[in-house]
Amino acid sequence: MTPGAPPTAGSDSPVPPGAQPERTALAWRRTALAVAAGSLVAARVLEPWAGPPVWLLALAGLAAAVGVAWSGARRARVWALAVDDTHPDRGEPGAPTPGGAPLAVTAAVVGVLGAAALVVVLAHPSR
Amino acid sequence: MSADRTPTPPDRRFPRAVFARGSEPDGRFSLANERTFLAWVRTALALLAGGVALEALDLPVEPHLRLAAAVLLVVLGIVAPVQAWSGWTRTERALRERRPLPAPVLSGPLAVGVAVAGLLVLIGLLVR
Repeated sequence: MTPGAPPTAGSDSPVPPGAQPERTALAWRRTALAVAAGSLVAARVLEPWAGPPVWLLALAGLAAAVGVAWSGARRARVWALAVDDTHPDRGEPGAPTPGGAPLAVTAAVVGVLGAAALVVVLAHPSR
Repeated sequence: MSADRTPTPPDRRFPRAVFARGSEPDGRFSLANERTFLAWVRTALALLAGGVALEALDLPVEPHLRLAAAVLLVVLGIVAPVQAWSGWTRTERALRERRPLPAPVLSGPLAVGVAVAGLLVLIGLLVR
């Protein structure tokens, strides 16, 4: 890589083509970790007020985190086939890229979590 | 490539409003778009966790200011996934149609909102 030259996305990019799907898979994993961590923090912080049932919600959050990680891993395989010229299972040029359904689901779930958080914040007694 | 390859199956990717338009962009740009979406999702989670923690923890902050800051953070955390999805669809469409990419609408308000929430907490700490 030329010192000081910014990475390009063209076909002569110094960044190996397989790196981009992997970076995206890692981003999904980071998101899964954020969901897991957020669930645990929320449960821990809300337990004095709501009692032990919060840990059921934390469990649901952890399940959601697993779902996010799994969805990301599955997408990474589809992306790799669509994008990576050096992948051994490379299909025909123009192999379809994954659609946006898991993204819509993720955004919707976070939106619902946000609504729940608003209820919690407004319902929590202030001292 | 054989001359009698099987025809490509019809495109059924969701949402049609994005994939029915334009043509396949460089996959690396779409991947970058997807990572941006996920970054907004993580931002939303952090805002929600921050808002909930602010209100649920016994912090020595004036209660009304603390509640205002918490609500502000949670509201930003509710709008962030809207930005995540809206930004992703608009950007993916622009990539497919080789148009300039849209700017993220929520960036400015988010920065202002977080600063205001921080200010409210700071004042609440001093006033308490």
